[in-house]
Amino acid sequence: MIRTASQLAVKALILAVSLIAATAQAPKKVFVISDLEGVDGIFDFDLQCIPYQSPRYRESQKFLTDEVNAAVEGLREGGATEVVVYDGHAGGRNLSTLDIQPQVRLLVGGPISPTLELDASYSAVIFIGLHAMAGTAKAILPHSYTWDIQNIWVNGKGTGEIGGRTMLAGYFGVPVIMLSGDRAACDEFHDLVPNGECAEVKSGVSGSAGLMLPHAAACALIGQQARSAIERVAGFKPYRVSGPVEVKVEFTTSASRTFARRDGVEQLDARTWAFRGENILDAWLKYSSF
Amino acid sequence: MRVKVKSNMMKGRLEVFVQVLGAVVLLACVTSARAQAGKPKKVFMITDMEGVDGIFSSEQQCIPYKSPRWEESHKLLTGEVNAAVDGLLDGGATEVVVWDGHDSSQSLSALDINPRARLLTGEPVSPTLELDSTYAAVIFIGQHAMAGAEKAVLSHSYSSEGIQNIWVNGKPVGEIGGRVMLAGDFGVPVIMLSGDTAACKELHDLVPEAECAEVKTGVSRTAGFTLSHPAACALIREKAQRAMQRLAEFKPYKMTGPVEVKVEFTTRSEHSFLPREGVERVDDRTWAFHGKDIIDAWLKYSDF
Repeated sequence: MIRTASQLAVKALILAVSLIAATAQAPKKVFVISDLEGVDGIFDFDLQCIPYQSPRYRESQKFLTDEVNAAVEGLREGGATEVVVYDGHAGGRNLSTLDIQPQVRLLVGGPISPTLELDASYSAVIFIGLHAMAGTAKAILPHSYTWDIQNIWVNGKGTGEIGGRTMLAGYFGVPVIMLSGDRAACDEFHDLVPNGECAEVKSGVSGSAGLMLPHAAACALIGQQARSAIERVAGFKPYRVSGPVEVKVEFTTSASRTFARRDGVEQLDARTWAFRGENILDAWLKYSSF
Repeated sequence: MRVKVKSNMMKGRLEVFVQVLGAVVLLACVTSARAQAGKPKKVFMITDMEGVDGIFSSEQQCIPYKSPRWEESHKLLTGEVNAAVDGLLDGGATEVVVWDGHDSSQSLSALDINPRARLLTGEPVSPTLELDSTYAAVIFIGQHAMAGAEKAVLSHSYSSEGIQNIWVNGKPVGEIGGRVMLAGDFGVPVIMLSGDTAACKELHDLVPEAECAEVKTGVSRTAGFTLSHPAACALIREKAQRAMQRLAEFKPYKMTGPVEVKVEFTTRSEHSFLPREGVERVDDRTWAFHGKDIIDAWLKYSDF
């Protein structure tokens, strides 16, 4: 009897210890989506944002790399067990294995899957260097994916890259917990994720001018917000779009895109198309990749 | 010492015993070192660029001294090669020869190559890459998968656009296969590779026990997940050392009997061969080369 009881006690202890260990080791994989236009110090596309061509591109590359690395350090300090960084600007060729934080896995190049290789295995998504949607007031370099898009609406709601990718992550059940960018990008993000952390590294006074934090201060802020976001990850819910979805895209006059008319694809006027599907993925992929 | 031995017999005996033991151990070491010295372990390293960490674009990164990111690529390749040399030497290699195998052999420099390696640069080299039976092992650094491989970063077979498929006795091969077979013909095993997931798979298909440093994973031909450069180098060094320590477990890849090498060129490629003994035109784009062994057959088609 005593032996059995003590065996039970030992077993219970082992179970408790392994449960605690399992909780402590519960993996927290984070997917970082990076872009360049929302990085601190960036305000001019031609001057700074064209890879290996813009006169100030090397400087931009350093700004971006430092911001991403600061976010990665913050995430790791806050409990992330694995960080994947997707180089999301201009074909994934801005970040280098030479100077990226050594513990990350870097997703570079293109094409990648239309859903950005994101899946349900991640605990969180964060945005680094993101910009507001096309047409946003006092937003630095605002645009939606390409310069030939005037507006995108998802079920009538104005959406840019922040929205599209928050919805994509939500589809996989993954919350977006943090963004770094200008004030307009932060506002756009908070509209979707009110409790999201935001590192406001600059604020626009026009589309190509604004007030900037010094680079070191921007990196420090990003590290701090990333850490705080991942520490609070349990408080976040994925952004879910319910019911059938309509993605409506209005192109600018300069656009030269047409789509094959098929199920769920409708031309509304000379420049506007609607794409309908049973969920955000189904509808959006009829239009484009995320 | 002698005084001590006389003054305390017990302690003295112990000391004598320890001294004798020490002498025996020393002798054993010297003997083993001599045995090793008598049995040099020369390693031949075949390098390429497309399988190096961080590399995913041919145009932006892989054209020597022309690609906008070439300098970075040079650093990445050199770092990986040097890590492999360190690992091999740590694992017991006595000499390492590095063949610069990417694009006309102009990627590695004597300035920053691991000072303990010998570098084979420039061209032409012999059609069998100056490899011979004096080597104990071959390793691949920065190697890519064959043309048409799935989710393989910058996959191709020798020529970036000219070759659709190569088969050896019906088995699809690319650079990994061709060179594993070449080394095998000289009686030299290929023991390790660094490259992407697809390249590792291709080597393991031929050499299941080989060590592989998987530094990246393709999601398409020109995109993928990559380790950071320091992490890739650490992994390569570890795997190279381990491969060298396990050298005795490896056997060279041997092929028996006559060999057929069949090559299907792409439409873009202009290839013509003189129909002669052992050279046969299969169709408009496909040629077959027959020989008594892999070297005999392959050299009717091309260099290795």
